[in-house]
Amino acid sequence: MAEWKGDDIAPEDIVIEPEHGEDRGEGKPEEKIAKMREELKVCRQEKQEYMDGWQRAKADYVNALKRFGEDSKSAEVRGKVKAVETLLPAFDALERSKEHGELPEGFTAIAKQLEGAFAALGLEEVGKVGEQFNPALHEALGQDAADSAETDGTITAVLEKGWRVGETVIRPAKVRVGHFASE
Amino acid sequence: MAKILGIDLGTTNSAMAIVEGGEPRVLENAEGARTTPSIVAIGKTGERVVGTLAKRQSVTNPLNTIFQIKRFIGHSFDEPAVQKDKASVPFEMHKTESGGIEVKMTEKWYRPEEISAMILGKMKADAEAKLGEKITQAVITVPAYFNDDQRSATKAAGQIAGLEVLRIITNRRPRRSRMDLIKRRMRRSRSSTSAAARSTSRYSK
Repeated sequence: MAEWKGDDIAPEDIVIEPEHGEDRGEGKPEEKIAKMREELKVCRQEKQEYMDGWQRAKADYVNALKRFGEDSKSAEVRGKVKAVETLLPAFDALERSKEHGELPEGFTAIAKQLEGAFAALGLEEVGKVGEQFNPALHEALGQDAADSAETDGTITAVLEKGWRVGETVIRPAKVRVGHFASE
Repeated sequence: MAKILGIDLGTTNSAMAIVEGGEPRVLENAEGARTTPSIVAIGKTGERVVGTLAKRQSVTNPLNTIFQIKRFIGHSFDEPAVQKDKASVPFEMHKTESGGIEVKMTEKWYRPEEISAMILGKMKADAEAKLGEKITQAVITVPAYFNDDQRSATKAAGQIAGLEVLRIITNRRPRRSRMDLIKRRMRRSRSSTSAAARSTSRYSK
């Protein structure tokens, strides 16, 4: 055994202080380990919950950013749609008057101006007689007898014009559709 | 964790919502509307359309356009209510071997659950497109008067649509007009007044 070379402290004088809870009647090491394991389990569960919550919040944030981007893109279209929707009844009234030949010359020019404005906004007219009926663009309000199988399912009359901007349908065209009864 | 879709599967229209940041948000369908008509149709070319598009073509194709299927879900064919409703719809219906109902769309027979599943499937697809993530779980609302058969049939419809139905929620409060509510309150106050009057008169004797 090596000789002690300390100045004034002998090895027997050194006292190792017990750690917190050790040798103080607070439980055996096995119990302490079990307790610590339990604490660790709780900590891990909490960590997982926080992690899940954080991941969900992050995903929500990313999705929200994406949606904001899409929303700002479609805001222009929606603005046009709203503006046009308010003007459409007046335009329809002008169109109907024109069909009946009741429109004075000055009003015809106004109707043309409106048509020009719609065209400038990128609006396209939907629904023409002879077109194949498509529920994505047209709304059927009635049926007419068709002469042949070829004209079955085609538009026979447009009761109200439809409008769209790009892929967005502002209003479907209200139409009557041909029906061929084969016997 | 994927989002849970809340679906109000209605007789005439259906709607869907999710909870985002603790707040509910109603989702628009592919057509941009907050409600989807509960209508399914198979067109002449064999394509299946659901919702607004099915409604728009219903006049041209009444025999193959199924609507108000909620009136028949979870019912037996012989029930008087079914026989009454059957008279008001243009599509064909028949009784199955087990006494249930099947409706006809282009030479093929479908159970009401399958038709409801087509509506739920469309809502699921629209929600997925809107949210950019897959939806696998849902809660579906049913009216308070729905019995166990109707509830389990609604749940089955969700499962056919590929959704794990976590819960079937009851619409506790029936929809009533404001006038109905006022009338009800007046009737109640009148009856309580007359009851109070009766008890008062009893004591005064």
